[in-house]
Amino acid sequence: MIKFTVKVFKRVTSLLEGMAVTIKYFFSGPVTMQYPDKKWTLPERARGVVTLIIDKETGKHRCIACLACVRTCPNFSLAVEVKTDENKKRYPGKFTLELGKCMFCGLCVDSCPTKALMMNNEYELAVYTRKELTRSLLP
Amino acid sequence: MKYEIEKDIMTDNYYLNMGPQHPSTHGVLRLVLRLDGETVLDAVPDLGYLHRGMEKIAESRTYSQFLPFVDRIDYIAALLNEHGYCLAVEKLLGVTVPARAEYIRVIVAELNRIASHIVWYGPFAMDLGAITPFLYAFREREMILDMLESVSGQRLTFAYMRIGGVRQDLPEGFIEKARAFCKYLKPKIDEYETLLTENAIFLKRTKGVGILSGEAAINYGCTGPVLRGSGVKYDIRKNSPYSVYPELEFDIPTGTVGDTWDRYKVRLEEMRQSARIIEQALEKLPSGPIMAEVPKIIKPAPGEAYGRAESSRGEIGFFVVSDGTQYPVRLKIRTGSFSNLSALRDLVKGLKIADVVAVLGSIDIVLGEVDR
Amino acid sequence: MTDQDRIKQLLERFPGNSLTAAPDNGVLSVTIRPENIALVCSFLSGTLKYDYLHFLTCIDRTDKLEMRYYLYSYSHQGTLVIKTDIARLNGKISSVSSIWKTAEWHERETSELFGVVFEGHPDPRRLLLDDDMDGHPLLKDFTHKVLVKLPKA
Repeated sequence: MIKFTVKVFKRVTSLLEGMAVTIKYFFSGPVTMQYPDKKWTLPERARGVVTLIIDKETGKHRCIACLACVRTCPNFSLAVEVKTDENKKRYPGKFTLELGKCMFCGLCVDSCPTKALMMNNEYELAVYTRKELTRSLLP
Repeated sequence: MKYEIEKDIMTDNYYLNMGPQHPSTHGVLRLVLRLDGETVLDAVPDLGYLHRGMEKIAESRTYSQFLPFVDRIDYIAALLNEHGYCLAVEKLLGVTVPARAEYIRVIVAELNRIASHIVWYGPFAMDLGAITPFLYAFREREMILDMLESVSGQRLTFAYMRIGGVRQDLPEGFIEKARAFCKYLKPKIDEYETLLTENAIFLKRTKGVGILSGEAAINYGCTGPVLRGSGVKYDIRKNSPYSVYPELEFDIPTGTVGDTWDRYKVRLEEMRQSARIIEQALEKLPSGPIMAEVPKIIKPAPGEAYGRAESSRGEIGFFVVSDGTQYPVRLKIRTGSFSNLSALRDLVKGLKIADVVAVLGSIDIVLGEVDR
Repeated sequence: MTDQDRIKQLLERFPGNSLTAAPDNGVLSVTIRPENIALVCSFLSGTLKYDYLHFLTCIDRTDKLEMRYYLYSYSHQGTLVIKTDIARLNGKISSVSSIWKTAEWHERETSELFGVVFEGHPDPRRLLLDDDMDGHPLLKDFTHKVLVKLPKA
């Protein structure tokens, strides 16, 4: 009989101990964020959409159309059309990114010899049509 | 009025599909249950709903191109997968990774292990009807993901490790943050335990349910917490050490009976040990380079290598065969969940349907890893 | 007992040219003829106490299939690889799932991906692929209408 009472007491207290934890948090503030109203500031390294770095003053990019990024992309989501100017210097005529295929791995950024690519902080990427997923990186 | 009870009613066994869209199968697993009333006579897992052909993809990608795919095998513990993959390719190449890179790898991998166990702990409690632990657990996971995001730039599929090192050095302030987090986490795990470990309802649902003996676990090829829960003291980090684990002190928690409760207990203790490893690794973190000298185009000499790491779900191994070109001839992915799940059929025989949920939860499968 | 002793025991048990055992890259590897697989495996798991099968798999070398069995022993912590070659189309080999239960699923997987027939398998259904799928995807010459051709980078 005593054994039984102890057992019941133990079981009940085990439940109450858990309750005590929850009650403690009942009085502390919320830890969640009301998303569309408030927005998170992403860390510096956040890997969003691949973009060409455009110099603010000159408005130029550093891409030399060497195709290193195209070759290194695991999902073949980048495409560059190579053109040469009068000095036989290569430059990209078209530079497109298929966002639907992109894995956001950052291998293209690492592979770029002129450090012309970066990944921005954009993360709300939903669009209405598939066509909108193909973006041109050139300004 | 008197009713006569017919004693010899013939009842038929019937079949029930559990999944592929069942919340407690944690993904798209389908279990074909053969039932007698509510007693499970047989449970046949039906896989392949998430089969993406990872091994075929690997044959058309270079060694470094396959790295982002590795993240997606077990998407809950991506860094642990990456560690295993890098070990295999580095073994094939014969590259020694600098000490700092190894320490960083261990730190982020152990953080990921805690996050992964949290993703197990919350839903496991939820499967058994306790919703609160899920919310508390995910609060801590959020902190880990924030930290890992500040290191790698992503929250789930990190693509942080590189063959021969890591992508970037730790960001400023990370060490302090990680240290503070480890300190913060320990009392939180005690809190998790207060919520469940001795809880009368939880004990009823888990004690003595789904007992897996040590021999059976070995025979089924179970690894990780499932194996240790059955009382086999084996951890790849200790028994065939890789990376810098030999320099770090930690214990291997084991169970005694091999029931659902033991597997639960082992995972909670593992979280504590991971926190311990992180603290030591942060203390010992040497300075130096973070990348070894690796050629830009990786072309290993013909041969084969098997690299394995202790993931949060058991042994994650990559068997890589090279023929001297930049594409692997064959890449076999051996995952923990795959073998652990094969033991389920024996575990649930004779249990009730509700216990299947508990046992399945305690095995902790990720279908991405099972189907690949 | 060291690896050397184990090699000795193996060669004593399987005399002649049916088996070669040598350390390869630090791992004890045993090359056998495919018809001996069941015998060798039961000897390895029984006498030599290799109680854990990491995985078994297959490699397509375009003229033959190479089987690999990675074994480990929890009692003496030794690793061992079994290598054997089988025919490329409808290659047959005995199932080892009665020795290590974990082999059951690995064999089902290998069977559907490479077309290897495992004789004596208790449950030779498909594991991952659709039942109505033709071909064996991991063979090098596999083609299928749903396969996307990769662009040339």
